[in-house]
Amino acid sequence: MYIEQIQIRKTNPIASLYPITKLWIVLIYSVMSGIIATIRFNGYAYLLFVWFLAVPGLSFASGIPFKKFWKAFSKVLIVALMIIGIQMFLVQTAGEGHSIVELVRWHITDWPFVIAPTIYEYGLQNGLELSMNILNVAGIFVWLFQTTENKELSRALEKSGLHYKSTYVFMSSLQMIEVLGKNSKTIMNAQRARGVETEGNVFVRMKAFFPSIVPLVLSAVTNTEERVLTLESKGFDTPCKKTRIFEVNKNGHEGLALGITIALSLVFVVWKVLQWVR
Amino acid sequence: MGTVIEFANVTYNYPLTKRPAIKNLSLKIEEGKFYGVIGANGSGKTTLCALIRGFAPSFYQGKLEGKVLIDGKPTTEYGPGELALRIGYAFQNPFNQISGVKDTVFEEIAFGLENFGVPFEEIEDRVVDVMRLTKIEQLAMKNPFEMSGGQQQRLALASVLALNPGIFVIDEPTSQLDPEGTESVFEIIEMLKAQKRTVVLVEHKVDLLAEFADEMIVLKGGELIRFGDKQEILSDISLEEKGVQLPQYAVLGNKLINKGIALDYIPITEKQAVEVIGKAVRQGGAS
Repeated sequence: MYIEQIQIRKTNPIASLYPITKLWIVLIYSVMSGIIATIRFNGYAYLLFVWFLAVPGLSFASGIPFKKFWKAFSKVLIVALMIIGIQMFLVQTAGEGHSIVELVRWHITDWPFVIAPTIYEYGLQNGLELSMNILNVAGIFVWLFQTTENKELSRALEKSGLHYKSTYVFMSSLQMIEVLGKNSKTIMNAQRARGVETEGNVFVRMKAFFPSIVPLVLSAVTNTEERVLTLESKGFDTPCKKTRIFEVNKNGHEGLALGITIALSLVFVVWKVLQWVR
Repeated sequence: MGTVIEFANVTYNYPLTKRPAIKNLSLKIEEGKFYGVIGANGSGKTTLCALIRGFAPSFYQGKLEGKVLIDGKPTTEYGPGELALRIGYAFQNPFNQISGVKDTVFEEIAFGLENFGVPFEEIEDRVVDVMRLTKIEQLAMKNPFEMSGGQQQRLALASVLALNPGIFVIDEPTSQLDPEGTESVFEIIEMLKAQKRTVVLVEHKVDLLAEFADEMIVLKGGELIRFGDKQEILSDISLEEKGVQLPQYAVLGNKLINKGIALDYIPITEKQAVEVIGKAVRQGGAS
């Protein structure tokens, strides 16, 4: 009764793919982003935008609501836009011997000591490539973690041969992110009650950093020691074959999913080879 | 009833310390009895628990002289996990007694059984039995991190109980709990006593210890200063000078005797206090 309740059952054929298969898809997709970035047309890696379409495509095909996808992805998008902005305004040249190509120069005034913002072509090309690579890799990981529970991934890794202690470290690290976040808020409140200023300009916040981070780290170390004792008390270190009540299984579509991923990747690999040969 | 735990002239130093945390300790703990451990802060209570459980010296390192024997075998000779099946261990912070990798109470309790390779078919029945005994079955699908401190401590005890050890070492399980949480944890401890398990309980709530313990272990500065019958020890007012807190009924009883009121004996529990003081009052009223 309870063992059945803790199993994860999904109806969507993509979301229910075996976690290791999804990991392979993520790996192939990420590597291909790097390769596709080298296929340039007039200096621009346009194909990265095409490749990126797989991320929202996979997410929606997996049944992820747009709101949920957007909530995770929008944070990465902000970083990507910042990178484009910094690169296109500041990065002027690829190196010695290359001319500076100014795409746009805005004149606020003709007075010589006034800085006129300029968009540089090389910076724009670089920024777009870097940002699209980040969006591609981050996006595919967002898809992975939104369609796969941590315990599914952990169980699949263990079945693939990863040592159970390594999967424990993986799972507990993910859990601890949330716990540390809560603890840091508690510590900040405690320090505030002791008169430490935690709100204000960046210098005030910097001053509050160490009184907040030191107790957080120390409590994490103490908690780790006690957790080791807990694990030992529950036979974690016992050298025997472990039973596992939570299981993950293949849904039968893994071969097809990997096949499509590899086939699409080969298209771009061949494209790149042809471009290189010419 | 035989001896299950024996300290034979044990002295233990934590690493890099000069003062021993436990000094020349010799005592025998019998099977099926409930032992309360009391003493001032720093008297060696937690170290005693760590020595019984084998964490000292295997985890804490340090220097151990003498022997700590579990079922006649030194703790240092037990292999990984062997002591976990023999001795259940619970301590103060309920949050740190959660594995951190399980999403539900059911899985958390099953975690120990999984680690010992208990057959799949057996796990569900054992976990359900334990959840019923500890009255947490209604929380079976709850996330352990979303539970209150009292619930987490019940879960910690349930997780240990699932392994069915004969000995329980429990170190201040209620120090971080509110009165309601404390009461719920002591319900489980009462159940352990009813099941005749060997229990070694460190607690500052001496009134509760007086209710449940059979014998007392009193430590001061790492040394054993009293060991034996709880009635005799917990009514001895001279222990207060050694930093040991006595049950409030014992303090009251001693004060009444000092005021010239004759009591048959010094009470250490509420029931005893009602009986003996009530009798004195009736006799005083009659005269």
